[in-house]
Amino acid sequence: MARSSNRRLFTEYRQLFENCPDGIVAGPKTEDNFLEWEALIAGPEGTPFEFGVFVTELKFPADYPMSPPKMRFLSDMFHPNVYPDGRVCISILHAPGEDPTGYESSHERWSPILSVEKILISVMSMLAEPNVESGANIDACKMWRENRDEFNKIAHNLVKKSLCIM
Amino acid sequence: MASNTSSEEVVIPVEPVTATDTTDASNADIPDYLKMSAMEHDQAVEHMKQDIEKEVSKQHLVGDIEPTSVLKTVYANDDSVYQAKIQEIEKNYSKIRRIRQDGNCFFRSFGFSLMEQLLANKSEIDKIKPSLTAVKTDLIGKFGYPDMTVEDFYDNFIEVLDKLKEEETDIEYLLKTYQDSGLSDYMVCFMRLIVSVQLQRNAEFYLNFISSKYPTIKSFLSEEVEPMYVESDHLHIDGLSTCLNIRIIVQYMDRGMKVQEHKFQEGSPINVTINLLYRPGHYDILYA
Repeated sequence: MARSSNRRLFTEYRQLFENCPDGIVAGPKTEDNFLEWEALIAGPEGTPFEFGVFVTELKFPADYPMSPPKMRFLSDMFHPNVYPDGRVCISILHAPGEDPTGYESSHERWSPILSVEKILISVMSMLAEPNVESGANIDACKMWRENRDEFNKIAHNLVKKSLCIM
Repeated sequence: MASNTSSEEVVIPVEPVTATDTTDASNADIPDYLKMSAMEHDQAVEHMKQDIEKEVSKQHLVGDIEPTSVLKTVYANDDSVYQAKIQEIEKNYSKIRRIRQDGNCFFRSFGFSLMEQLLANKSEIDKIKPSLTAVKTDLIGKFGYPDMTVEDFYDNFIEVLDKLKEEETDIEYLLKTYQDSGLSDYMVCFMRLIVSVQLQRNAEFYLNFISSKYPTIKSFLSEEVEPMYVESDHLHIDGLSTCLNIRIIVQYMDRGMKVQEHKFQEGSPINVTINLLYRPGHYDILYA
């Protein structure tokens, strides 16, 4: 079982190393355990998270890529689709049938054809465009909808914090 | 429950019954699962699911060959419908190879049976390869799938096919490959992609058979075909059989009148026939 997930993660690591999408750096925390990765994600341009660099963690199941990894922000994050404890809740991190927050069927689910790169790109676009229909952090959802200035202020502070200038 | 309450309001009891008595009496009739709170209910369902998964994971991904009569022990002796059908199937298929009931059983049955026959009939291997390569090329070139992951699944499938050509490869190798969940699931994955390509190539045709809850062929594929552990039906069988031009014969054993036989790609020139047994929600391999 571990053989395939390790082989696949090794291929993905090599590809990400050679050709990483803008604003993303990712790889195993240590070379002797390919099932735990750390990924740095830059806040997308033109969003309240711009200039921030956020640290996240990905934990892969032994049957990866058959099942998706779990992902968590290690940096502080306040966002409609991130639980207060940092867990990321977007449809691509769930197999069909798992419905923690009732996604619509049009949202892309996990399938083995996807990859770490695809997840990280989805998380970047999640930072730019939260999905308030299926929120994980109710306070963040509410603030995003009703008090955008306050939301942006919190986001700016998180950006500063992520750069250790606070 | 609701009808009980309303009838109490209308019907005057012959003997006077106190309110608490009524509740107790009706409560005794209510199954345990109805007395649970929503959260308890969710937990109970979750436990039940875990128990089933645990039970299922004890089954071999691909079992050994057994006499078809082994199925008689699966159903109750007095289940005359199924017992009669098993006898009917036994007439043409004396042996069965049971496959794990994990939602991938159609693909695993197909893949194993295909390769088992190719092992005995090595000259057919190269007849199948061009359609496999076309699957890879179309996924990447025509439908924009990521080359890294597609090639990973394709390479794994081809590697095993090539191994079948070697003189010293035997059924033990094939069993070992299909019983190793990592390798076995990789095969299933690629076969799911084969169905995906076939349906995308003929999207307009296949859309006629897809539930209207899926507005596009793409949405159907990403929910019902490409993810692992999602069960297969007629469309999956048709897609795989048509794309590779492999003959499949399925014996449908359900509560209906008699065993129904369905044939796919009957006229295929490739000297392989996949014989499957379908019982509601599950596929196994049959042998003459």
